[in-house]
Amino acid sequence: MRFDVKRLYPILLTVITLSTGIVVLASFFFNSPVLQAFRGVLVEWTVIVAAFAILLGVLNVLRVHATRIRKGQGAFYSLIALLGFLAVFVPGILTAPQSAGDIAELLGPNGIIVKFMYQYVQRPLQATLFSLMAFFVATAAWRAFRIRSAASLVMFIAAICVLLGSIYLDVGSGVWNQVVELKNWVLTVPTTAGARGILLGIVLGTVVTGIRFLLGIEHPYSE
Amino acid sequence: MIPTFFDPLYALISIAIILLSALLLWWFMARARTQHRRTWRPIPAFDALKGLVGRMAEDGRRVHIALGTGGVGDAQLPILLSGLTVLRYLARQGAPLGVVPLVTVADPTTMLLAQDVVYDAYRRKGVHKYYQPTDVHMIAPDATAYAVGVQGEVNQEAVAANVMLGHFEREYLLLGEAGAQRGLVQLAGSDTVDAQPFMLATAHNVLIGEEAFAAGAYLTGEPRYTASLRVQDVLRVLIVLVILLGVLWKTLLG
Repeated sequence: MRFDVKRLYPILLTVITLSTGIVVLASFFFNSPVLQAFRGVLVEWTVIVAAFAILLGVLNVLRVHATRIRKGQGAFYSLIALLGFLAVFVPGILTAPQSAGDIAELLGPNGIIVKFMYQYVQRPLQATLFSLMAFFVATAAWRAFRIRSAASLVMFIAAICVLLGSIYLDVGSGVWNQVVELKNWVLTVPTTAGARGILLGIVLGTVVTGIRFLLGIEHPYSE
Repeated sequence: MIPTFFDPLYALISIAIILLSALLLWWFMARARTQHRRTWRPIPAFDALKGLVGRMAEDGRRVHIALGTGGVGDAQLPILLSGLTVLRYLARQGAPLGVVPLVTVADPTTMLLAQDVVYDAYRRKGVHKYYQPTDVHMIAPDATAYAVGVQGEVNQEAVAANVMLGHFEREYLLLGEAGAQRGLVQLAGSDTVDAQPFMLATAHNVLIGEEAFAAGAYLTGEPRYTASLRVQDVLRVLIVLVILLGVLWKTLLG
């Protein structure tokens, strides 16, 4: 009988996945220094592999934007993206000896240039984008609260209760306290119950997918 | 008291659940291979996916798939696998028609998997010479930057449908709303509760809770996926019974 390496390959991968998965899983349940150490080594390997993946990811970003510049499709934004990348990457990867004085402080991953770009470019931009979400929420709510079905009606009534209960109106404390109580009830009883139901489904899906993985029934790479 | 790691009782219960799930999975898989295919309750989101590629091919436009911010080494891998299943389905349908989805990812390890899925779809149809690695775009590892980058992709004229299945949190709204404002056909699913209300507000078809993990069963019908749904059903019933027993115990015995 002819020995076929291609048939051995998936079996080997399954054996490695299964044995590694079981050992890592066991390290969560048993307080064994050997298992903990083994898990630590595997995590280190994962970090190394992920580092190479980041390199490939960077090359993908460069390739996509270079292609767009060449084809003239959104070339301006792609150019900005590439310049932004170079402005952080080049000073971040370069280092200078301490004897170089101010230049040494400017360069490196913890240098002034990289810190400046993070503190005064990236963080303000992120904050700005997140503040835009308020307007996005308004337009999304407008769309969601159009009453087209019984579910939309329930959503609308719940939203009105929560909105009214969250603001202050001078209509007499007795009535208002009831509105606030209604808001609290909406948030703590039906909302929490629904959220926990969704969460339970997500957890079960996660557990069963993990077991498929552990048993070698599923893998993310193609056969 | 909340049990901690290495608590013998906690470990025992966890191991029992894992062993029970594994045995049930094997049993249901064996049954699924011998029995007729079971009919599942309809999920509109998966019905919408069927025939989507054909319609895109007629229009000369593309489907965009956002796989979220999860990566291979993260706890979000299961939902990422679900997203990859949808990508595999759409890529295999689209490869012979030359309509392969445009994929955006935040994590480089996800990028590699997505490229592998798309390449495999081309290879199976014998058209791998047309494969473009840039069909899968890595945007940025940061969640906000990713969401904004995806907005740019969604706003392209060539994109007519937007599938978002993966790990999304509140930043989902930035990309979901972009597609909603353009009137795209949108399908969304996530493994977080935070993103669910935003999805309901912006997408036509939303996968709620465990539905996000049912892509394989609904799109491929393979025994491993259908068996997984049966296992989830059994575990859900058991958990509900335990909760009810706990409530009765506390109510009657204090």
